[in-house]
Amino acid sequence: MKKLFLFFPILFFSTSCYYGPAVNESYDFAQVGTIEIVPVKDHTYMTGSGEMVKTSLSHNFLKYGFNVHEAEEVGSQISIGNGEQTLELSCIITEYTDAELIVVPYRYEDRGSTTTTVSQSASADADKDKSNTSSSTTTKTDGGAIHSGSKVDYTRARVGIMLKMRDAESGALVWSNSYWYSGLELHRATEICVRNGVNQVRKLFQ
Amino acid sequence: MKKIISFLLVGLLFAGSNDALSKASAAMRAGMYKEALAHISDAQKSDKTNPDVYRMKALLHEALNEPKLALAAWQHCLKYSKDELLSSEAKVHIQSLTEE
Repeated sequence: MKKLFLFFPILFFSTSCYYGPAVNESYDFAQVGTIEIVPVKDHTYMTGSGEMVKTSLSHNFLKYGFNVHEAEEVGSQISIGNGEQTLELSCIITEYTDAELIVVPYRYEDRGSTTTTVSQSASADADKDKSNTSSSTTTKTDGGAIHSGSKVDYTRARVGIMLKMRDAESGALVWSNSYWYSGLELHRATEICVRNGVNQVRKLFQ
Repeated sequence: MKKIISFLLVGLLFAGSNDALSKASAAMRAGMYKEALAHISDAQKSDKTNPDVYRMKALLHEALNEPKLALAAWQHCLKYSKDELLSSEAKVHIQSLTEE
């Protein structure tokens, strides 16, 4: 019974935190010879974003050691293996933000200060052949305080894509997943976001 | 006749962290990422557990192509974050940087 109580929370956390791809388990990826990259449409708010993502897709396949063939009529073709099947890789840009404002709230702790004042006095009386010295020390401590509620801001870029692959002949959807990435520069966020997707695609053919 | 010798010892253990963070923000806007990181380090002396500051730091390290330092910053961000979105962002970056 105790095991049952442990099993369900573990199952819940393991499934809720897992963002893996959706894969058609019955599809034989070993039969794939070519992947065709379908032209990517621009995101609503960014003209040219589609071309950027498409170029990044080709670039990343090339970077991972695949042969990439680019022709005007058919778009980019990636050579995967000696199989007969062709997969169509399409990409939807779900997010393409150049300057998202990020607010950083902060608190700062003034740990206070300690001021020490040392006073010394000396007096000499010639008639009485006698001298006196005295000293006093005063220490003043400021306890400090914690200040909060202030904030600063900066901007960052955020890119989100959804990739899916379908069999060109049957039209069956065989694989899909979504990715997003953030960064200070848009081109870098795009590059890493696409790279993460391509990295997962290539694992299907290893 | 009296002689008074006074000296003042003031130990300011901390001052001006908000200023440091504002400077970091300004440096980021200007694209001066190295300078921004230096200011963030100053700001962190007083606010060591702020996940948003760790995110700033991590993004700067990534922009400077310093993946190991970025990874460490994201791990700290995840450790101190209580916000679901921020934790999710940290996880995405940690996964990506680990696979790199």
